[in-house]
Amino acid sequence: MIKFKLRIVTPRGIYKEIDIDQLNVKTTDGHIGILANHIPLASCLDIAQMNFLIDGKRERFALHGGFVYVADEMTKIITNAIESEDEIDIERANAAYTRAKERLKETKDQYEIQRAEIALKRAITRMNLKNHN
Amino acid sequence: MASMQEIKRRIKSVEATRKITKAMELVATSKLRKSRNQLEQLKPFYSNIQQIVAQILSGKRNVYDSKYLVANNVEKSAVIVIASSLGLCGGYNSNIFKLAKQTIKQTDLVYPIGTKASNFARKNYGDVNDEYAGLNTSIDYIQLTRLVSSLIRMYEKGEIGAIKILYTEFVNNITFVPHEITLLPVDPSDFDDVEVTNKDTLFEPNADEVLGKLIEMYLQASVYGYLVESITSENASRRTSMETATDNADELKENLLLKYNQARQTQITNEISEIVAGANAQ
Repeated sequence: MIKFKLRIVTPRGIYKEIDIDQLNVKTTDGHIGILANHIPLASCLDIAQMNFLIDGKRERFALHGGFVYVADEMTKIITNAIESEDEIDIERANAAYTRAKERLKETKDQYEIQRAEIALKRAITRMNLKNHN
Repeated sequence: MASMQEIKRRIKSVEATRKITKAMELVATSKLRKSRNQLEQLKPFYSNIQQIVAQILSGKRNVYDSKYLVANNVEKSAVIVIASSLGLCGGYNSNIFKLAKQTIKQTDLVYPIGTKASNFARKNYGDVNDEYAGLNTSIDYIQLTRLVSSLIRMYEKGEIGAIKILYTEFVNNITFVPHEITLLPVDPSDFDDVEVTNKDTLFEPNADEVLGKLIEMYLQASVYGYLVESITSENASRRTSMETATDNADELKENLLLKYNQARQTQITNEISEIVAGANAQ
């Protein structure tokens, strides 16, 4: 397969820069797969799992929202935070899950609810990724 | 002339102070290196976001009436003021407060970062929110995104007309310049210099929505950048002033030592002349 360059950028610097076969991400509109020579595209990413394929091997990550930007020379993912399977602290994710659930039950404030929902989504993404094996 | 004992005591006290200023200089140096690294790491993130914003602005003229680009005619602004939590850093705090006095209006909502800024804001302004005053020590990106998002919500609701930030630019190790920057509404001409490669990019779901989300991330990255840059200036400023203090202590100690030796010499001369006088008298 034709490979293309992927660069993942976070506020802490460049997280990864590699050549991959296929990139699967979840945009706010739904899942998309990106192969080499895709037309230029810019899209918002949802808080969800993402993965890419190198020579048939799949690597999975928990992505905390952000952007994907596909250009001729390079595909870029810009995100506030990303974690590989090994980097996830499952106990923290579990704690965040219960905390967010409780907050959702207690609060009536619209903004608080929104924040709790985002936290919940993050926790679920992490837990799913960790438990899939 | 001061007694030998007195001079000796002063030398000891100067030496003790010198040790403290020297230690503070070393601490500031290592902190300076750390915050400069952080600034370096942020650069690709920031420039990539900037590039995509430029892309959207260049390709789609119709987003120019986006609410993020057009002022909403509300008088009140929210102003973030970044200063330090500790003193002994030269003119770092007073320079930023001087600028604040010129630019912040009484009606504005002030968000101080750093305890010095928080004290300043409480003394001078009525509307102060210092929920985020600890950001300069924690440098927590998640907490910072919360601050920026809440400001953007207020802007969207029309409670404020602009988001501004007062920060200290780090020019080099001895030059720091305080600046006022308007974060929102975004000025499209800021992006004129950014190079754009693919003009016919596809936006999903649409350019407006991508721009909205992107602006939020762009502002978060900008505020984070300004924060880290201010902290870099603070540490550099502290390092310079502590270096000067150490040099002064050295000079002071040298002068005192000279005085001490003079006093000692005088005492010896006195003793000798007393002995000689005594011997002559016999």
